Formats: sequence, C-alpha cells, structure tokens
Amino acid sequence: MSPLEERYRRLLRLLPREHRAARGDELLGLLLDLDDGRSRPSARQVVGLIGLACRLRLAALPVAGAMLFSAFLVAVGTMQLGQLIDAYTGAVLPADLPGLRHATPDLLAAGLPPLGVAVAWILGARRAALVIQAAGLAYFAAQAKLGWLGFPLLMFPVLAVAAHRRWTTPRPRSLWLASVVLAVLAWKAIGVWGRHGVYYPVLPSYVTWIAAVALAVVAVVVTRRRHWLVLATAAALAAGAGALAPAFALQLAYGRYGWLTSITIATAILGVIGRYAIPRLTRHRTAPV
Amino acid sequence: MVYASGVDTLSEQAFLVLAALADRPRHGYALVTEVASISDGRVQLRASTLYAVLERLTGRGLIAHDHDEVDSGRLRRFYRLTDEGAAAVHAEAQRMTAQVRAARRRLARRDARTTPRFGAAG
Repeated sequence: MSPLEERYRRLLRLLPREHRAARGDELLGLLLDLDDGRSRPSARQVVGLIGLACRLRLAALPVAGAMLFSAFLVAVGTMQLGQLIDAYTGAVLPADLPGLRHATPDLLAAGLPPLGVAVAWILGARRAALVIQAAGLAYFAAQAKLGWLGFPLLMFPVLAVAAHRRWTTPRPRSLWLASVVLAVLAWKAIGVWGRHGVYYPVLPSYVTWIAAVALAVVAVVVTRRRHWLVLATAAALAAGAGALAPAFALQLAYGRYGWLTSITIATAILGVIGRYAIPRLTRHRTAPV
Repeated sequence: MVYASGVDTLSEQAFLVLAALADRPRHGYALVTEVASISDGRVQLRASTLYAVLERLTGRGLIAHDHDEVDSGRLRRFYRLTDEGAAAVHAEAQRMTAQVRAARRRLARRDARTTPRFGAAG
C-alpha cells in the first residue's frame, strides 16, 4: 500500500460507516486517480472530504431529533398515568381518598390522551396522534377547565410541526412500546422513592478518576492511530468525559434536572441501544459459519 | 426548485455530469476530466463533490450503476445515463437555450437603442 493510499484510507474513516462500506473503495480509487504521483493528499481533496464527512454526519441528525422527540412523548405520555397508579397503590391516606376519586376522571382525561399520542406516534400513525391530542383538548375545553388546557395546548403545535416534518419514531417499534410500560413503572418507582426521601450522595473522586482513566485507555485502544498528538487528544477528551460523565449520570438518575428529563434521556438511550447496538450484536451472532 | 413542467432543476455540476454521461458510461475519474473538458476547464470537480452529485443523481434515478472494473488495484465504478436522466438533460438544455435566446433578444434591443444614429441629432 502506497503512503498516499494509506493516508487516504485514514481520511476516509471520517465518513459514516455505511457510506464508507457502500462507496469507500470507489471514492478511494477516484482520489488515488486524481492525486496520482503525489505522496500526500492534496489540500483541496482533504478539505472536500472533511466537508463531505460533516455533511453526511449532519444528515443523520434528524434521526437523533426524532429519537429524542419520541422519548419525550413517551415520558410525557406516561407521566400522568404512572402518577395516578402510584397515587392509588401508594400510601394514600383514607382522608385523601374521596378527593382522589373525585379528581380521577380529570386525571384520566389528562393522562390517557398523551399516552395514546405516544403509542400512536410509535406506531407511525401521526395523524391519529394529532386527532387524539385534539380530543384531549376538546374534552377540557368542553368542561371549561382552562387550568388543564395549558400543556396540551402547548404540545399541539409542537406535535403538528413534528408530524409535518415526519419525525417518526425510529425502529424497532417493539422496544419503544416496551419503553412505554417501563416508563409507567418508572413514574411509579419515582413516587415510591419520593415518599422515602431523595438525597444526592457526593460521588467519591476516586470513582470519577477510575472512570476517566478507563475511558482514556479505551479511547487510546479504539483510536488505532499511534501519533502522539492523537493519543494525547483522545486521552484528554476521555479524561474530561470520565470526570464529568459519572457525576452527570448520577445527578440525572436522582432527578436533579427534573424527572421528565431523566425519563426522556433514559428512553432515548433505550432507543439508541435498540437501533444501533442490538442489530449489531444480533448480526454478529447470526453470521454464517 | 421545480419547473412549471414538473421537472426538478439541475445544478450546473449535476447537469455537466449528466452531459458527460450522455454518450457512454464513465467512471469517476473520467467524469472529472470530461466535466472539465465540457466546461473549458472552468469546473474542476473535487472527489467529494462528485461523490455527492452521483449520490443525488442515483437517488433521483437519473443515472444508474453500470459495471465495476478494477484497474491497478483501484475500483472504478461506471455510471450510465437512464432514460429519465436523458429527458432531464434535454429539458435543462431547452430551458437554457430559451434563456439564452431571451437574453440575446434583449441585448439586441438594448444595442439598437444605445447605438448612435447618424443624422438623428439636431
């Protein structure tokens, strides 16, 4: 392999994996033809390749947006129902029970439409999601209960824009449907936890530093380049991430940024695992012997 | 942008790539040199630009993968113009011709206005 080819192969790693697999060899052949006789890639082609890598990677952002939006719908859609289940199955005082029973129709009317919206959205029925959202709004408008109208009213244009832009939930749908059940249970668990008091333990510094060193080692191993500048940058970035990530994850798990944020991010992580990690693992397992 | 006839417009680079494929299938490097030749050296496609244009044109069904060849260990993928691609080149060429005609007519009128006529003054 010539030095030019080796350098271009390294540069081509900037492209997303699927593009590299589909067009990598073709693009490499073209680059070698264009820069024939040189030992280093020309600045013109390098700039073009970096630009192409950025464009292709930015094109993948709508998937991330759709995933986060779906996760938010799941978190919002399950909140009211999870809290209602917790209210009935938790340590409800006998004195509070009549009031709770009286408010139940409104709580259900506030909780079921968002749940229906989330499920319809996951199943790809965007119009049905809009209709369900409108039905929820209509119920409270007909009852003249303006206090309940705020959030659904706010959500309606957001949902309409998302439907127009086709931010559909990425597959697999089964995992997203499972996340709905898990999110209801999470809201119930948050209620139970809340009654026992929530505290924020200080994460021992040695845990963060162990995480930082581990991430730095992984980064250095994964980054196959052995140039000192690449190694130093990878180690520094991983150390920073290692020092911050455990503390951030802990605060997220303790609802420091609000439980809605915590459940949204947890659901999005589940979606990412379902979309990228599970197919890769199963593909590896079913590879021909 | 879409024409009144319903045909999508083509960028200059896309038009030149389609024109370069009009007579026969070509691979990437041949396309870069052919586009430079058609445009009198004004358009020098980068590999990344050509890749993006080919991706877009393939997606729109205007060109298609023809065959692959390996030369000196380098993969060369040949592309050919589809019938839709040929129709798009025709439509774009007609549009450009019509615009050139209109521009020339207006320039001729302007020249006629601004050219001094002997004996007209005084």
